[in-house]
Amino acid sequence: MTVSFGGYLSTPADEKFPNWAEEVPKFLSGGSILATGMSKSYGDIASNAAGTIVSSLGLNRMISFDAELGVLVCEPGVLLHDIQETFVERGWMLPVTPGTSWITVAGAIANDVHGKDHHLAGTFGEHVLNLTVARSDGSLHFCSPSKNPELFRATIGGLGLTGFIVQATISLKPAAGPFFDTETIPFESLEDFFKLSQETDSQGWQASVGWFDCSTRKAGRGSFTRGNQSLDQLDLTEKKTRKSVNLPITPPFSLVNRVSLDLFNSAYFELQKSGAGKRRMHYQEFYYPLDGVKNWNRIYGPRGFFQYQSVIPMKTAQSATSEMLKVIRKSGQGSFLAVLKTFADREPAGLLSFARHGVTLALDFPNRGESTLALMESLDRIVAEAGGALNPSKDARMSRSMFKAGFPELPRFLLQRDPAFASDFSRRVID
Amino acid sequence: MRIIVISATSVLAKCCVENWANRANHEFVLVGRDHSRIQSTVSDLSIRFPMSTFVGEVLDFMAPAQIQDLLDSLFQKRVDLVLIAQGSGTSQIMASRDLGYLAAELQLNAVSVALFAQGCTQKALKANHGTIGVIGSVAGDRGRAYNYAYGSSKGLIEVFVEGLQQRVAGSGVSICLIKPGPTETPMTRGHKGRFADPKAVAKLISEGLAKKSRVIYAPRVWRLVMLVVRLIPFVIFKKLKF
Ligand SMILES: Cc1cc2nc3c(=O)[nH]c(=O)nc-3n(C[C@H](O)[C@H](O)[C@H](O)COP(=O)(O)OP(=O)(O)OC[C@H]3O[C@@H](n4cnc5c(N)ncnc54)[C@H](O)[C@@H]3O)c2cc1C
Ligand SMILES: NC(=O)c1ccc[n+]([C@@H]2O[C@H](COP(=O)([O-])OP(=O)(O)OC[C@H]3O[C@@H](n4cnc5c(N)ncnc54)[C@H](OP(=O)(O)O)[C@@H]3O)[C@@H](O)[C@H]2O)c1
Repeated sequence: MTVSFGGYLSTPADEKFPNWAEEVPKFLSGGSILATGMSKSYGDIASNAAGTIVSSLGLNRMISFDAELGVLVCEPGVLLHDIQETFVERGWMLPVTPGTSWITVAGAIANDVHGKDHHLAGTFGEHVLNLTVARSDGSLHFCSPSKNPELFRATIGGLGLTGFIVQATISLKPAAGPFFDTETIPFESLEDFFKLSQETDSQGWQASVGWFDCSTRKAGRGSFTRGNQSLDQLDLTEKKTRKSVNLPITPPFSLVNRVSLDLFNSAYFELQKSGAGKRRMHYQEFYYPLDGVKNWNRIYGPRGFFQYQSVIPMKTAQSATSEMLKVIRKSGQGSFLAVLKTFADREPAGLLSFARHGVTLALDFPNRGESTLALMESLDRIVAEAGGALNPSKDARMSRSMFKAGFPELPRFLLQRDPAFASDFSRRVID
Repeated sequence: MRIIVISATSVLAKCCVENWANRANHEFVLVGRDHSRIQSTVSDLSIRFPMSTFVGEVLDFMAPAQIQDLLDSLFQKRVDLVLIAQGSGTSQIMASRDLGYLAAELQLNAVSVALFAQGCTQKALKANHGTIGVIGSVAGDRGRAYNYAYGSSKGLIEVFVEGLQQRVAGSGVSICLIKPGPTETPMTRGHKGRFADPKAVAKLISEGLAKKSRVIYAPRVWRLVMLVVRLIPFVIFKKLKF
């Protein structure tokens, strides 16, 4: 049985663990196949009930590194965590990283993940120089923006449906060192967030993210954090190894209820507010605040939780976002974590890339069954009306029509799909 | 240190290398059976640990003459530490039906390991210097219907190493028997049960080798567990299902 990050359960018929790239093709014949990474996707995108799962985790070698250009060739299962650790003190870092480093390079490509710096760096896929993809017919395809460009653009953000990535070449960005100069600013309303966000982009900050309180009646308050790589990285020696706290087992019931949520959100908000101002942070704390608590997803108990991440075009973003927050507050199912970010106007790297010009809101809801599904359906209506889309890597319930509407390049993508590759997600939403 | 790793493509061995290279810069010789696999292991580690050096060597693990030649050349320079790690998770079902398979498995898990251990000890004694770690297993502590084809090879290693330990007593050489419990590596993937993290096992191995422990159980609880298992009289043991 496989368990996704959000607690989605699925039983594949078979699991394969190639240790060497040359073993991969023999695992791709017959049946329905899906490659997986660290299974950090929240929903059913990395699950393949009754099919075969082929893990990338045994393929975790770095193949070559060009120290002049910062170009890394690696196997698909290399962890972003290892890349950051290996190169940061040599002056290189990942140009784009999501909110956890415990994911694979292939997972980052297949979901074309975004970070806190979309306006400067775009998505992970924009930094992929080329890929080698193994297909179920036994063939190997090298692809890049100039060679097999359609397969390349389909594989980036391709939800694992175009074949098995056996090798990737990515470019890193120069980094002065592991520290960031950050600033945390409390805001009291949604308008403040949008103002701050605009100001931050125009002032040239490298990264920013807004945390949002949607549990209380104080509509729209939150805190905004932005950061730049520190120019002086003197205290290299105070290399930070964070002690992480582990939630070792899944408690039999969810620890997230109305009371603890209100408490958490108020406490977190006060903490952020009191910590407001300027501070130097290690990149682990800045990029990956949640990696400090291992298995935090287990607080939701065995029923797990849903993450709901939407992106809404700039024009309609402000009104649609405040509408969504209103609906959530009314439902009494306030979100444990609500994160707001803006995406800049850039050409998407993949045919099915989620990140696009607009505002993205990510919400976590404990799974309370029907009422949670109903809440998300009312959010769907707001997103659809505003011309937005939902993030497949966070999803376990969106409708076919929602997916089709949000990903207009789907027909072009399907021409590149490997017919033997499928997932619970593809069966639910695409096939 | 100059460290020689026999069967360096093994996940456990690679975790040991990472543990050593993380703490200091060393000179590593990585030995395996397949050129491209050793090459990719060398490349990966060289990128991750640019301050250490890595070279690869390839040979047939079952060929005594090749083993001798390789050790002759490697021990021309000072060797501080050797880890011998090859092994295959023998399927008891296949081994019970197919004698050819059983022979090949015993050859790798017992004979090949003994040849390397003997060859290295001889060389180290000559230099009167060095630590040699040999990976056995908790499975070697008792013959069980479930896995005796594998366990008996590890049992052979245990007695073999004990003999070597007596032989080197009082010299500058130390020999260490490493007995991991079930650990999450390719050998156990797809099997049911609880597995230790190979990084944690590697940490215990490197600590034990630094202390020149005679026997390293990793994780440590296995020392106690196996003590109990060894004490169970056969009349009772034969009725147990584990
Ligand atoms: C705490 C947390 C924070 C997060 N923050 C962000 C964020 O800020 N931004 C963001 O964009 N995402 C974020 N995510 C989502 C996460 O980055 C993605 O779900 C990512 O794809 C997970 O990678 P993985 O290695 O776990 O892959 P999996 O979840 O195992 O798989 C993801 C996809 O990759 C495919 N895949 C895996 N290996 C291969 C291969 N070898 N070849 C082809 N396809 C393959 C799978 O088929 C699947 O479609 C976050 C997740 C968590 C848990
Ligand atoms: N994992 C456990 O639960 C566990 C428990 C107790 C003891 N051990 C022991 O730990 C050691 C390391 O194993 P591991 O767990 O790290 O598994 P592993 O990653 O599968 O390593 C096995 C190693 O043995 C090599 N090998 C296999 N067949 C060979 C052959 N015919 N000729 C030469 N080399 C061969 C492999 O080389 P290639 O890479 O070239 O295939 C690989 O280096 C073994 O001795 C094992 O018995 C493991």
